[in-house]
Amino acid sequence: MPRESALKLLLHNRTGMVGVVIIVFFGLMALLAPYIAGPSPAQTYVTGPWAVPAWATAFPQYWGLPPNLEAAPPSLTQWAGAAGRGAGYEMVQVQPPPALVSGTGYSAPSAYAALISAAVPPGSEDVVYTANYTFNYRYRPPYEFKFGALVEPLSVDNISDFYLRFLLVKPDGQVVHLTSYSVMSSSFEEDISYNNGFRLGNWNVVYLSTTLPDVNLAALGPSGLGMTNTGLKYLDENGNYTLVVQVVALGGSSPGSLKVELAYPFLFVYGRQYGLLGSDNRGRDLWSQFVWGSRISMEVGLLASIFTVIVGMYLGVISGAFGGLVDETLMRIADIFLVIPFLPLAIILVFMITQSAFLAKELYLWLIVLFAVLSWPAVARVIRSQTLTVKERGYVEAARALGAGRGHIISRHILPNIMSLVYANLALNVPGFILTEAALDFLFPGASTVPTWGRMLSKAFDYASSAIYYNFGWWWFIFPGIAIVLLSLSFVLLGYALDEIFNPRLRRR
Amino acid sequence: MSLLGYIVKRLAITAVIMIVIAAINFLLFQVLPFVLLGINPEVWYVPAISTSHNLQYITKIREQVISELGFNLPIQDRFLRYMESLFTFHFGYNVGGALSGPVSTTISRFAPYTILLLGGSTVVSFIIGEYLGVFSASRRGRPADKASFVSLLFLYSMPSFWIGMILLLVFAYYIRLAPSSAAAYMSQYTGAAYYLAVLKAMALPFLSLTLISIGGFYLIMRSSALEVMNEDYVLMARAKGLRERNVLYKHVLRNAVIPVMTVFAISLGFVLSGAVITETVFGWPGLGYWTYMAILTQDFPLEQAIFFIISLMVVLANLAADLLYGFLDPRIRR
Repeated sequence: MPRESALKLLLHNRTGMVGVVIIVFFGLMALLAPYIAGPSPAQTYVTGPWAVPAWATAFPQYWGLPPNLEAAPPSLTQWAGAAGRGAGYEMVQVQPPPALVSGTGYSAPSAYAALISAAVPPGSEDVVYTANYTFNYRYRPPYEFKFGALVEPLSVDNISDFYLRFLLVKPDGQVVHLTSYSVMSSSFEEDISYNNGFRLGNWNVVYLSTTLPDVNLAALGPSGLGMTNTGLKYLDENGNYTLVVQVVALGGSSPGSLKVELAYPFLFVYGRQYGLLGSDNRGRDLWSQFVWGSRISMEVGLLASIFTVIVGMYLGVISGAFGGLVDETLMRIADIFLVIPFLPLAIILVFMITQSAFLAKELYLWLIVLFAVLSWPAVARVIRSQTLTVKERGYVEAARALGAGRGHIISRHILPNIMSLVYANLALNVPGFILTEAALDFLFPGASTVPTWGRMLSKAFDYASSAIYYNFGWWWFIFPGIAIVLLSLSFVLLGYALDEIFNPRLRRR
Repeated sequence: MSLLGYIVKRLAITAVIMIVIAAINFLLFQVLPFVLLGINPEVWYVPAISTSHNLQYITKIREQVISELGFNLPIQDRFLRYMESLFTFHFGYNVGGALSGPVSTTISRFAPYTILLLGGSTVVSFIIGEYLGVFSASRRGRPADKASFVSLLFLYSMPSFWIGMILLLVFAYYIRLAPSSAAAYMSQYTGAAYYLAVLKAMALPFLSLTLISIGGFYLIMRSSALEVMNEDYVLMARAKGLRERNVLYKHVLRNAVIPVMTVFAISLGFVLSGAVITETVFGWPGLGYWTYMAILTQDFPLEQAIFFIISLMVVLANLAADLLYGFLDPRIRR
C-alpha cells in the first residue's frame, strides 16, 4: 500500500485521529515544558501546603480560601512610621543584597530604609521606632504565613541589647505577640515555628514563618483551635489587621546610643488555592510537576518502543528469511526472554540501579534499555511469521527463480511488506512501557528526583494511605492518573487504527 | 511429526529454557548483588542468630549454613549446588529482618494468598471478557460495541496502581467498607472468623485485578470472534436457521476461545506482574507483595525463590499451551 493513501486513511479514521490528537497534545506539552511551566520544578514552596487548584474555589466547600497574598508589602514607604521617645529617624536609600530578593521571598526590592538614631537611657526598655501596616483580610485562615524584616546595626554604644519585635493587632483589638528577635544574641524570644536569623552582607535578616509540617488536615478543624504555630491560629477572623514592627532598645549601665537601619518589613500569606493543579504537601506546584512529568512518559514510551521494534524487526526478518539454525537459535533465545517475568525483573534491576550512584544518574536511560532488551522477542515473533508468509508468496518465488539474491528479496519484497506491522507495533508497544515506567516510579519514588506522573501518584498515595496523615488531595491524584490513561489509550487507538488500515481483513466489509 | 515426537521436542526445549532461566537467576541473585552492591555474601546469606545463644553455638550454626549453602566452594561448584537446590526446593534462609526461617516455608505460607486472588480474579475476568468480546463482535460497529470497546480500552490503559488507589480511597477511606491494609486486617482474626476476614480483605484487590485483566481478554476475544464470524461454518449455522444466541455462544465462542487460551498462557507473566502492584497497593500478603518487600529488605534468597517460581510457572503454562495447541491443531506439529 502506498504511504500517501495510508496517511489519508488514517486521517479519515476517527479513533485513530483521536489518538493522534492526544499524542500531539502531550507531545507539545513535553517539548514546550520550560515555556509552559517554567524551569524544572524546584523543591521550593511556591504556596501553602495542600492548596487546591484555583478553579476549585468555584465549589462551595472551597469558597474563601486565600490565594498567595502579599498582606504587608516590603516597601517601607507604604508603612506608617513613628519614632519613639528620644529618638528620630529619616528615610534613606539603601542597596539591598541582591541574593535577598530571590532567596528569602522578599518579593520586591525597596530602595528605602528607616535610619533610626536614638539616645538610650540606662536601665530602660524603649521602643525607639514603630512601623505599622494595616491590611484587610477577608479569607478563611491560611495554613501558613511568613513575615520578617531586615535590620542593620550601624553603631551600638553602651546598651545591653536591642530587639526587633513583631506584633499583630487582630480586628477585635487583641494584640498578639508574634516574636521578638534579639539582634545582638541572634535569638528569638517566642518560637513561632520556623525561625531564621542570619547575616547577608551587612544585613541581619529576620525571617520567620508559621509552618505546617506534614499534618493531619482533618484534625486541624476549621478554627485550628489548639493548634500552635499554624496560620490558622493567627489570621482566623475577617477584618482589618495591623502588623506592628518595633525596634526596642534595652539600656545598659550608663547612657548609650543606638543607630540602626530597618528595611523590608513584610507579611506574606501562603495560599490555600494555587494555580491550575494546586500544590502538594510541601506547597510545591503540581502543575509544573505534571507538565514536566509528560516528558519522561513520552521519552521512555517512545524511545523504548522504537528500540524494541527496531531490534525485533531486524531479528524477526533475519530469523524468518534465513530459517534453519539461525531461526532456531533466535527463536529459542526469544522463548527465554518471553518467559522471564517482566515486572519482577524490572523491580530487581531498578533497585540495583538505584543502589549505585553511577547508574542511578541515568535511571530513565537504563529503563529504556531494559525495556527494549526484554521486549524485542514479542515483536520478533510477529515479524518472523509475517516474513514467513511473505516468503511463500508467488512473486517472491518468481523473483527467486529469476535469480534474485537473499539481500534483494529482503530489501525489495519482505521489508516493504512488514512495514505496516512495524508501524502498528511502534504504537502498540508504547502503552505497556508508559504503564510499566509509571508502576516502577510508583514502587520506587525515591529512585530519582525527576518529576514524573508515577512519582506524583506515589507521593499522593503515601499521604492518603498513611495512617498518620490521611490527607486525600484529590487534585494530586486525579490528573496524573488521567494523563497516564489518556496517553496510553491514545497509543492503543493509534495502533488499532494503523492495524485496521494496513490489514484489510479487519476492515469492515 | 507424530504427537509423541512433538511432545518430546517441546519438553526438551522447556528443559533448556529452564536451565538458562536458572543460570540467569543465579547470576541475578548470587553474583550481581555482590558485584553491584558490594555485599559480602557470607555475611548476607547467613541468617542473623539471636545473640542470646553462646558463641560456640553461633559459630557452629554459621559454619553449618555456610557449608549448606556452599559459600565455602568455588563459583562453579556453588552453581551446581544451587541447581541441586532448585530440585529440592531448598532455597536457603530469609535474611534482611522482615521474615525468618527457611525460604521454602515462607513461600508455602504466602503462595496460597496469591493463588486464591489470582486464580479467582483470572477466572472471573476471563469469563466476563469472553462473553463481552463475543457480544461486542456480534454488534460490530454499533453503539453497544463502540461503548464497550472504548470503556474496556480505557480500563486496559489504566495503571493498575491507579485503579487500586482509587478503589482504596473510595471504599476504604470514604465509605469504610473494606480494610485499607489486608495483611494488618486479617492478622486480627483466628479460626473461622479469619476466613471471613480473608474474604472481606480480598474484595478490593480481587475487584482491582479483575478490572485490569478484563480488558486484555476482551480485546483478544473480540478480534478472535470477528475472525471466526467470517468462517463458513458460522454462515452454515445461520443458514441452518439456528437462533443467533446459539450461533454466538455455541459456535463462535467455542472456536474463538482457543487462541485466547494460548495467549493467556503466554501472558501469564504479565498477569503475575499485575499482581505485584495490586498486592502491594492493598497490602495483600501474597507472593507479589513479597516480590516487592523482599527487594526493599534485600531478602535475596526469598526474591530468588519467588523469581524462580514465577518463571517456572510461566514456562509450565507455556508448555501446557503448546501441548494443548499441538493436540487441538495438528498443523502446529510441523
